[in-house]
Amino acid sequence: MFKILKYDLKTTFGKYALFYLIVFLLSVCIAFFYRLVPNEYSEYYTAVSALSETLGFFTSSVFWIAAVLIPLLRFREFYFGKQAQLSLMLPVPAAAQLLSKTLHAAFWLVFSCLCAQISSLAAMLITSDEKISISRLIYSVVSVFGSGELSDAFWLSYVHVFSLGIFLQLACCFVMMLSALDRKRRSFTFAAASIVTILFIGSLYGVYSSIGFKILVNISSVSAWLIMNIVFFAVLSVILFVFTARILKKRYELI
Amino acid sequence: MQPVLEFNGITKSFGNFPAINGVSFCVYGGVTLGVTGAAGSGKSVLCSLAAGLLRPDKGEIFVCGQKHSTKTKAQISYLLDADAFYGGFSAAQTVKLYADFFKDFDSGKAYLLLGELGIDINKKYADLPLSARQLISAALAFCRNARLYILDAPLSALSPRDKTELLRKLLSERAEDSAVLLAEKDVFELNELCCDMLLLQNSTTLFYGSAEDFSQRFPYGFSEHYGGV
Repeated sequence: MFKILKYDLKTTFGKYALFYLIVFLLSVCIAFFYRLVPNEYSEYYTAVSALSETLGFFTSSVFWIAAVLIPLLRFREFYFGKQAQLSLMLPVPAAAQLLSKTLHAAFWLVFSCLCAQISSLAAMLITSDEKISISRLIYSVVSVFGSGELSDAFWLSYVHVFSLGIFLQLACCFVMMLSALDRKRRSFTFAAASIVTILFIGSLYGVYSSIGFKILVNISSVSAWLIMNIVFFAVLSVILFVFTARILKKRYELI
Repeated sequence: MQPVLEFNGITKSFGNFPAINGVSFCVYGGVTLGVTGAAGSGKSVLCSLAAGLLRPDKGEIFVCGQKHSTKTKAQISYLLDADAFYGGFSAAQTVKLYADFFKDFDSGKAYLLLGELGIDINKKYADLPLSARQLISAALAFCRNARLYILDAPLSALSPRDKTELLRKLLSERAEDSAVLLAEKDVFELNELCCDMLLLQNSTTLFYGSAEDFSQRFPYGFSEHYGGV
């Protein structure tokens, strides 16, 4: 399994490296743009500030979509693209292959979180008016990563993003595998399977959250919501993994 | 003696179209079985079924006495399409990939063979011409010490003469107890490389027997059976 993971990481490394570099440069450019207009010109300052924030939001949205999309494209290429012949001839069990794809997505999600953190830190340094010493920077980072309620929420939000990413990855893999079983009407099956999966998981989440909030009343609201979501995504990820691996092993054949 | 590959009444359809219909045969160690027939007769489907890339609708396939599994995949060397490898890798990296996944792969032999074939092993796979990519694929397939080799229309970018010469060389260097399934449209290229022949027509078996019998029965080819192709 680790051999296949190594090759998954190798094949996507170039794409991610380029992607991270673009995001980093973009955030630095936006921060410089923000700093360009001095505070005293208030009418320009408001416009520039609004534009910078919009650009920042757009960059971060594209960043997170791509962070989930690149492993999915790798999965598609591996099972449905030209490389499928090689993938299916490798003497690696279906579950190990799928686990490798999941860990591969998890690895890049963690790295994407780090990249986002570094990019925001760089933007913060550029936009800040006061001189920030290295020791103060280290202190502020350590205080967030340290103990206390703020750091708990911080860690939980990271685990939340991570579990959501893995869940989305496996849900998409599951739908792709389902649609691959229907050779004649693949696009139709893909659309139908996507709608049914979204509706099913959505209604399941609705029922789950209404029950969950009653149980987790004693924990602070943000943490409770995060924990609840993490558990939901983790359980569903395991179920989706088992089903997808089963289709791969028992039913899937080269298209 | 246990056959290396066994097809028992295999049927495979795509929708209402039968691609293979009730085909049965055995390939023993040391034997090269040539599979021939017109375009669309089911040669490639048969190879994909033998490799485990497709699943039969009816019948059973055995590789070294076992049904298809991860274990049997380790015993099959399938000659992949020229585009099946990752385009961003060089030939050297692809050799490393094979060495990592297949225990029976001989890296030293692969480097030697690729050198003999004049392949630049450091050039990206996607930047190589089709003929070079096909040669790499063939070299990788034959540098494995597998029990069963499956070659579906191999080295099509090469001239018939070069192709036959290279295949003869590669087939002669393989282990004696290994079997080969070689699918090709041109029967004259196959005849001199194969011990047994299987002729497919309209998804069913028209002939299955020794290459000698095949030559006697179809001395001028078998074009009359499928409209002069």
